[in-house]
Amino acid sequence: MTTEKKALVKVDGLYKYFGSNRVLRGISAEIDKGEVVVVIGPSGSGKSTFLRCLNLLEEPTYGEVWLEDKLVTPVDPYLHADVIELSKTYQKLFAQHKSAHPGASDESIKEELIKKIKVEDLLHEKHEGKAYKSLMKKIYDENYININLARQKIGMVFQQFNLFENLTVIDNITLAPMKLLKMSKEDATKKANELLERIGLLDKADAYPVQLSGGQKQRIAIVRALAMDPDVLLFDEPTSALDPEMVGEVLDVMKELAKSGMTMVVVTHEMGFAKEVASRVIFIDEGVIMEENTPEEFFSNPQNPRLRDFLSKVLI
Amino acid sequence: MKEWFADLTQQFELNFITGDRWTWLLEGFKMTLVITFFATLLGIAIGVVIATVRSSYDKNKESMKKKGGFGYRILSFFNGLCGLYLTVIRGTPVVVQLLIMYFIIFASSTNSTMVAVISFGINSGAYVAEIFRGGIMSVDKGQFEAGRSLGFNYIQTMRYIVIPQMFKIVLPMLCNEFIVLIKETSIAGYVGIRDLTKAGDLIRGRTFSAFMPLIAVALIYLAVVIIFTKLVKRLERRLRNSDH
Ligand SMILES: Nc1ncnc2c1ncn2[C@@H]1O[C@H](COP(=O)(O)OP(=O)(O)O)[C@@H](O)[C@H]1O
Ligand SMILES: [Mg+2]
Repeated sequence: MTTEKKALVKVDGLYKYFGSNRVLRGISAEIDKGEVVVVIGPSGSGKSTFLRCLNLLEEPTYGEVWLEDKLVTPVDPYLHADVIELSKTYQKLFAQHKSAHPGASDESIKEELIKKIKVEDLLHEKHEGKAYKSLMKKIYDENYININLARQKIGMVFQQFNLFENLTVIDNITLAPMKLLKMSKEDATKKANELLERIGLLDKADAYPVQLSGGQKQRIAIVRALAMDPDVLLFDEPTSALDPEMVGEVLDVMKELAKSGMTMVVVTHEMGFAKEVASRVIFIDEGVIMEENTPEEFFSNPQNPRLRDFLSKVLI
Repeated sequence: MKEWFADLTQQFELNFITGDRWTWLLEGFKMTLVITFFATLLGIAIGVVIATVRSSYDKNKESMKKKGGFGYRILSFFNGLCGLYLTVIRGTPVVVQLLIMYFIIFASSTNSTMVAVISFGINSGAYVAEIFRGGIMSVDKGQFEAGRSLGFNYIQTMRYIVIPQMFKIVLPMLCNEFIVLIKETSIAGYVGIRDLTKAGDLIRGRTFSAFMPLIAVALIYLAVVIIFTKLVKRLERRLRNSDH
């Protein structure tokens, strides 16, 4: 269950359906440490959904998301062969098969049963003894990362900023490090102040979100995510809700971040940003990756006709 | 005119001064406030639990259902229990609930005040639960998602982010629930409690004049309700105007 070359984030065969609406239809991608991946595509093509599947704000219908060598998506550990073998259901079926087909080898029966048994068959048998439970836990710990832990390492910046309205700027930034990383108040405040200094908003430390402009809110939202020292930052159209005169200040922070080596996945319509700092640009349309390339190739030599069409509309 | 006034004074003396009967009203009023206050607290406690169970069920049922197992069964069991509670409480009269509590469930208890607090608290809880549920839903979904995206679990996100914001909306409504309960507890006399209403009625029984004691009781309720309503309005305005 381990990958050979360890990408920081690996997405494998991601599908997401909302009812009968097939929003993502098989997306696979790898994001290496230090990369800045820009995702573009028409509105409604599934960009936000893709991003939100990476930290499981949306639960994928099928597919896997890996953070380094640990699986983020919930694939039921009950489906693991070693666990199935321990279940009463399996043992009962095994005995039945054995008496029905005395000639068959244990191995072949086992192979057939494991393919056949579904997780539903095991559900009502979930509390079977210590050995079963400890094996489950072992399998889980070896292969999975708890979603809340994973999210500590995957920061997210939203289009609508989503600063905590009930908290001051400084509390917005220090809350998670204090409660989740058990940082002391002094350390967390010190770090928050350094980050605020870096974006030139130290004087707003005690302000409430309602007292800030959109650009200021978004820069603070970025800092709030950074305070957790994430391995990767996800941006969902971070400048789309801003007045035009504030777009620059947010993009400047993001560019600085990118140059400092932060791993970033950015959904945006800012083609200038993509050209300047992206290491790779991905074009998503109708829930699939239609094209993927270095920014130079991507913009100067687009292959897919839909991408050419899209670019001709946005690059006037 | 003069006669009428003299009669009124005499009636007043008879009903309130003689035998210090005004202290009955005072004691009754205190009882009303005590029952209302503790019933409100109990109602809030119950309401929080119910609202938490019901909204976490709504929020998590899809993902938990798929995994199945113990957690889901427990949560859906409690969710069903809460639904039953809401239906029963909202579908039966408060007096009947009180009588059942007093004569059946707590038949062996001699502490009727406590029985009344529990009964009104349980009743109030059903309405408070809806207040909280409305409050939770009124907080922008983005606040919740931002909390989860930082790595807070469901309960932490509710505790640090959603509930504090919800309170601003919910606090005035809880005060209104208190005001409603002040009036609703006037049936406590059914189980032998000397609340404000019962005190007025006792005076009436002693003096054989209904006008004075009952109008006095009505005026006291009215005054308290008007004063509390004013205070809530002011609180509401303060919360609305504050930046945070
Ligand atoms: N929570 C949801 N429930 C149902 N449909 C959704 C939900 N979120 C997104 N969709 C649908 O998924 C499609 C893609 O949406 P989205 O990922 O937001 O696209 P983009 O970000 O590229 O504009 C749209 O058709 C949208 O209506
Ligand atoms: Mg979007």
